[in-house]
Amino acid sequence: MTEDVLEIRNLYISYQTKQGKVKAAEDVSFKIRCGDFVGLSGESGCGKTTTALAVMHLLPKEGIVEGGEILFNGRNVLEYKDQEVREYLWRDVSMIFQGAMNALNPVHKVIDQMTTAIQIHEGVSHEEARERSLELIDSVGIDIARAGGYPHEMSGGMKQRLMIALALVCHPSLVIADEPTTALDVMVQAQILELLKQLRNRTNLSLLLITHDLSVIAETCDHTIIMYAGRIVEMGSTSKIFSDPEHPYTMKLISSFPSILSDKGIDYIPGNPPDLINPPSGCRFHPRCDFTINQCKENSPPLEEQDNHLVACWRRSDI
Amino acid sequence: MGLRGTVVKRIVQAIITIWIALSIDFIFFHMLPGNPASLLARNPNIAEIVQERVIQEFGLDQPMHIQYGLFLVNFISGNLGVSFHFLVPVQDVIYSRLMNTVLLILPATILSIITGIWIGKKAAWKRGEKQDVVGLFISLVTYSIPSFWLSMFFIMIFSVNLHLFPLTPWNPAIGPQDTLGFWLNLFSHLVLPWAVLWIALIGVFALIMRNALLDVLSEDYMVTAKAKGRTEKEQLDKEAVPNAMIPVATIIALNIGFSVAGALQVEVVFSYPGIGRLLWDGILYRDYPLLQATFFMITVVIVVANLIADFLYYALDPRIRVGSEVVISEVKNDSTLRGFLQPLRLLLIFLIILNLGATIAYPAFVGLTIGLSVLAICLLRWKQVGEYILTRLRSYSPAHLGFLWRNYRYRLLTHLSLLVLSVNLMVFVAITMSGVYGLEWTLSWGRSFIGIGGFPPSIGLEGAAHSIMVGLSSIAHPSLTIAALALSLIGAIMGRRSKTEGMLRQFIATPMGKFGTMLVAFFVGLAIYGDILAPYDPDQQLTGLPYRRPSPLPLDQLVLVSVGLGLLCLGFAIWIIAYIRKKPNTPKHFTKLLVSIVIAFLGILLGSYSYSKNHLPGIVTSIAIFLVGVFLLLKNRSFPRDYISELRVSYLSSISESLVTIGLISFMYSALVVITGNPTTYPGFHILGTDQLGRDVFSQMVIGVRITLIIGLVATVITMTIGTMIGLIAGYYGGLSDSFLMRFTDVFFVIPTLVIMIILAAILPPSIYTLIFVIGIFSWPSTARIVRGQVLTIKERTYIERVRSVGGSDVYIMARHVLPAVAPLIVANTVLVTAYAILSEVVLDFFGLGDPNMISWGTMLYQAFGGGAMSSNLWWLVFPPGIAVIVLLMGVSMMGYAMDEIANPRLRRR
Repeated sequence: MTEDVLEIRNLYISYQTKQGKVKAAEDVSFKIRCGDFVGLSGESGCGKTTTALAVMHLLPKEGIVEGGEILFNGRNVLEYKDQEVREYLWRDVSMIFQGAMNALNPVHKVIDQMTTAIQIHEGVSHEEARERSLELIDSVGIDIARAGGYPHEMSGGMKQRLMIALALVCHPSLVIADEPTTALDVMVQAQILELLKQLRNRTNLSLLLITHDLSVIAETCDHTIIMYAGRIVEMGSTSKIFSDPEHPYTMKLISSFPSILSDKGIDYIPGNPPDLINPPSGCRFHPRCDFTINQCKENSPPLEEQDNHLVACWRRSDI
Repeated sequence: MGLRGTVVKRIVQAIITIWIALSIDFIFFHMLPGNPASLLARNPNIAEIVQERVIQEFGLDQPMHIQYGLFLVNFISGNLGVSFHFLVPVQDVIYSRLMNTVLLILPATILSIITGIWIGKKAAWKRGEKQDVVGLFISLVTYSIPSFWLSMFFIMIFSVNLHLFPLTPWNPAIGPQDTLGFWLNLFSHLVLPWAVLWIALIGVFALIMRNALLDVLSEDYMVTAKAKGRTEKEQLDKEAVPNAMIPVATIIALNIGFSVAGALQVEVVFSYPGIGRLLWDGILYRDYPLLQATFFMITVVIVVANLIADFLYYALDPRIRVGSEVVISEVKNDSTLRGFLQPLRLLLIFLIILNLGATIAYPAFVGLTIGLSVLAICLLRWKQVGEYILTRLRSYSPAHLGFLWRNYRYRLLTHLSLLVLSVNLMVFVAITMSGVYGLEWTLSWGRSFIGIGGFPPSIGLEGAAHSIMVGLSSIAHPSLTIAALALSLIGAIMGRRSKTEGMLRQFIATPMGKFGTMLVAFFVGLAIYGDILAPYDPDQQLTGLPYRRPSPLPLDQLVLVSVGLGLLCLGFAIWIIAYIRKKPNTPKHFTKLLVSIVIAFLGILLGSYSYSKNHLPGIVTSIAIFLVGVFLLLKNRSFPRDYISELRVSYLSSISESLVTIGLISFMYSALVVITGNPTTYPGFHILGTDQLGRDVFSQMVIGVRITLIIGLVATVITMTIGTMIGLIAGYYGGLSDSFLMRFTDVFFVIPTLVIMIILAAILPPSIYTLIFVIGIFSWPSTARIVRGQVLTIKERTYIERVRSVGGSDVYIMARHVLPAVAPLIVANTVLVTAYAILSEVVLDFFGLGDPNMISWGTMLYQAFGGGAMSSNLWWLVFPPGIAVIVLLMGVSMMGYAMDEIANPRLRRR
């Protein structure tokens, strides 16, 4: 199976604020093949979540899609009417939210929240929906006796697992996981990662994993996309990116990660993330880059492919 | 904590609430001049035997504590005393009336809860859009209408003019006695009261629902709901509303007192035989046992209703949040007890008890005893006190002042005026406490401080004593206090200009803030220029015949006014056409220019009038207005480059705006000519007619705004001080003090404050101070709650931890770090409390409890109501004051809501 579940083409998104237009995503294009796990990373405010929200039609009022296409199984999601959007959400694409602690409605029982999700999309009986939800709850490793409880009776890790179960309840072809492990302690993180790995082995699900924690991506994903200031700077197979990054930003990002085993020095990226209202000219990374040449300041580098590995840097071959 | 425990806890709390209400009841009626026994004896209508029995039952000849015990026992067992007026045991009168009131309140409240929740839901879902604006407008209007006025209005429209409903009050003894006829008769009498109460309550419930829902809508699970593919209606009804209903249920329960307050007013106007009417009778006849019992019964009803609502809450919320809140007080251990029993604390407690004793024994020396105790404490802790004073003074060293002058000039202003203020207030407090010049001196200070009356008073001192008094008085002069306060405020605001300016700009940018400020400014203007605007002396009787209808304008004046109005309307019409046709807007610069011209002109106009009438406050204010106009004009003096072409493109709206400006200017001018020129140029002309004594209604309206504003503002200051202190201490210290203070607050939340205010105002001598005092000390519970909630979140912040670890004292942290963080919220709440205080003032006035020597809108309505204005269709006595109250309240609450939207972190847009 090599079909593309999701293809994003030249997506431009901006936020209208009082201070001006924030260009949150610019010329973002990537594909997710059926069954692939793709990691999307970058520092805070680089457009990861914005891109995901656009796929889910969940951009806030201020967020405007200014151009591009989001193709889901070949159909442009952005042209969907309200009714179509509602049918498409959760049945085709579902989402595991950042901070699942609050993503479950506190006044409804967990099991009810799952069954309503099924019943919104499929004309199945309540009993059948319940049956399916219970199966899923069991498969994420939660005692089904707890299913009748309210979210506040669960621990953080349990809530996160229930959120994953909720995301899978309508058998979507793509799940977007937005920071699924952030704010969880390490042991729980390990459980969640284990669960995601199982999913990859057992099902045909595609996953877009958004995180700033590169180790999570290294652990679970086939492909990795690195974004900086609203643009994709590097994209390729996970093993390649981690072993041999080509964009200076990716290099810095990887080397700034502490390692528990080696006592290598931790590198950091000087300066601050750019102001997206008035982004720097040329390559967005040039003010913080160690390899800047004049061309970097003037023109924005295109994302060029070489051996299935895409990098946006003028000095790719030099470094 | 199990459900059983919570149930028990709630019931215990309810009992405590009733106990406190009873104690208040007891204390109030012992504050009366003379004791209950002599009051009873003085009443000639009560037979000797009955008197004997009452004295026996209530132990009125026994010492105080036995009286108190007997009072509790009697009231709880249902023996409520003998009514002075009805001459029967109070309980016989009260129960049937209570049923009638329930019949009035219940359907209306349920209906308005449903309507209010519906409106709140619609408004919150479409926040900031047309639906929200309409919803907010409806809520604020209904919130601002005093129920008694709406009742009068409805009676005049539907009963007097349209004859749709019976005009005579309902009386169960008269009319058909068969079941169907009885109920039909009752129903026809109840439709209007229900309608009034329904409308009057919508606003509260809609606002509560809107705010609760806005809070919920920003939660993460709402995104999940949308992502799940729920329709908008389902997101709202199935996911958001069940969550919002949890807080709404409690807040609605706490607001039951609000419905009762509304019902009291409605009953009075409709003469409906309920408990509110009984209260009115009790005030009219000064029937104290009746008042005492009414208050008790109303409290019991509300407490029970609250208890029911509380249990509903548990059915709604799976989390049972409340249970966890209570455990706090159990953490105490004996080490805190030992800390509590420090020698100094013991001394303090001893001094407090001594003071209390001294106050009761020799009330004349209360100031002296307290002052001496404070002095004693200062002497005992002279080291700390001295150190404190030294640190304070150190900031006034020349070096520091020089530093301030170079770097923070505005802070220097604040600094110096605070020094003046503290000296001024210290002298004032010292003189008051020592009591050498008596109560008259202090009262005169207070009068002068709020702007009525002169200072210092002539106390009949002579020679050196007189000059000493004048000298001391000039140090403690109230105008000095006002000036120092104003200057320090200006310094503080200008010192943080950028931050304040940002908030102000946000505030003015909201249509609600803009509009509300304009309305309030209008009334403040009326208060300041009242003397030159009022054509007649408002107290002067027979300025014309009594009950004269508003006279039509004389022809020449009509022409003058209509030219201005015509231009204004024409301008607006063109502007609307341009807006609909989507023509380009006028450049902002041009609009600002026009606005500044209007302001400057207003300043000149009012200034020249004030000057011709030698009215000093008017002249000063006019100069200030003029300067603001000139300042704005100068700020916009530089023209942008392609200005002319921009103007040419937007010619239609530019012309319309210019027309509006010209119209406004000529209208202002002609209106002023009409209003002020009347008594001399056109004798017998009354723009709003005359009342039963032939007094000019318009003049009364203009002067009446002052009392309303003064009482509203001063009561607000008292309320905010109490509320902020309690909220701050409860939130910051937590633990025992929190539990205690919050229980105390809850009690006041539940007890019908309006009823307390009415009763207390009836007991105390009628004066403006009584009103201020009564409103001020009973409106604080909501403020205390809001402040406490915010302090609780702020206190957990890391920077507070940081200050504490550096060694900041609690007082320092509260004053320097917690208070500023809560300040925006307090400001917003202040405005809302002002609205509530003004509304309370109008209602108390309407109950005839206002200052008989001062004209206010409420008193005008009271006199109109008493004079039968409704049945004789004298609309000009009823409509103008009522509409003025509504517009003023709308202005104030709009300002409050606009500020709340900016300041309240829970409402901030995410």
